[in-house]
Amino acid sequence: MALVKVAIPSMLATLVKGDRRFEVEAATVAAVLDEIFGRHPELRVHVLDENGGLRRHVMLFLNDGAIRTYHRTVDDGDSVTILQAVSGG
Amino acid sequence: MAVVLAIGTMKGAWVARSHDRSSWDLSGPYLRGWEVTTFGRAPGGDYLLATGSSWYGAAIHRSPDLEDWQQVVDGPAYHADAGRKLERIWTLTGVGERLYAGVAEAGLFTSDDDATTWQPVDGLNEHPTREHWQPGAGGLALHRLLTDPADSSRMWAAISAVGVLATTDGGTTWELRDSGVTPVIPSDQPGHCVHCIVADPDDADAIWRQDHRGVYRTADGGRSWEQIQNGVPGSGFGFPIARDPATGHLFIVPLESDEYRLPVDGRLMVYRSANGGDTWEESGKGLPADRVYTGVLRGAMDVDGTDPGGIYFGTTGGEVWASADTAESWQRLPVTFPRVLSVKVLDA
Repeated sequence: MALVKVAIPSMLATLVKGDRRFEVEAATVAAVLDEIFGRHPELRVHVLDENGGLRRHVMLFLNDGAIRTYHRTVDDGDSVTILQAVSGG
Repeated sequence: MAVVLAIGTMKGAWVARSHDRSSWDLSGPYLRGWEVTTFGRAPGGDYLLATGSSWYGAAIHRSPDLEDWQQVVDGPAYHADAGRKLERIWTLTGVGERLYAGVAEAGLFTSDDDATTWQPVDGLNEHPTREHWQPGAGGLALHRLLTDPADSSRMWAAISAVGVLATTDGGTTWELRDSGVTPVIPSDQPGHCVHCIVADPDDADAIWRQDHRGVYRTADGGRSWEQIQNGVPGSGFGFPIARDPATGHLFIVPLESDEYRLPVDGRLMVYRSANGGDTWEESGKGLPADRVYTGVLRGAMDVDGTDPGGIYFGTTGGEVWASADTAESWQRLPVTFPRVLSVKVLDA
């Protein structure tokens, strides 16, 4: 298990009256998401679509790289960031 | 006469309170940054609102006091195998202890546990004509549900650009009821762009309809419609229609045409009928005389049900107007909001 830094968009943090940044323990990106949704179940519908994939205009970063799948392993100190894509004008 | 008025915009919700329908106290924004598409009440008394976002989808939120809002975790959602996305929630309608949510992509969901969990209404969502349903400019949306206060098994759903579907068995089966309404595109498939419907609570079969093709009414629950836009400027195009149950007055906002969707001659006008739509007249003083180019969306007009009637509407330019005398005169709330999507009287 790795201690991973998580950042979520401010609109989603406001929704759950929580911090934008926090830490979770997990071994993979998928487990990081599970930890986030376990802590804030309201967020699942805003991050994932009906098929369980990332919403079209939501981006997921592992450290500095954008990813669209969740199988990657994570190490201590890694960052997982959920971002609102710059789209829509 | 105290009124609590909820205002949903592209960037959050506000609540306006008045004890005399003349001076207003404003609180908000709530759900800051989120589109607030509609409001409702849960059977247990909580206030409800729906949020939407092009990034983050749609959800229902509840509050016991209009201040502290909590998202409903198990809100309406299409199953993955439905092949649809829940884009917006446009109506929250209560029928006794049951709630309904009308959504885009067009569908209906219901809750029997005080808005905690929601299930699809398959009889409508999987309607035999569904493969032929087409969206209007505002999307493929179920935006209004009417119910019969005397018989909860009878309901009418308005879907753009499909038409009005009615059920007499509590939602198990639905039939299209658009006879007499000019379709948007002549076809043997559903294609009526109903913009808004409103009914007489004392006679649920009496329904009035602001349609893409004009203003209509029915006396037989939608089995036959007649056009009633006599005296209304423009083409009959518009979005909201409201009925004051205390006085029976109807209210619409005429627009130039479906091509332009602008106020006729640059005048923001509310037209009023005192005789069920037989004749229409421009409502009273107070609205700007000219050079106004905003519109009023389908969910952005409501009434408070008292006599004389309280009428409220919000514009795409962010203004909210109120009348406390059945639209003899209008007063603008002293604030400019983002684009107004929904106006709802929550308490009166």
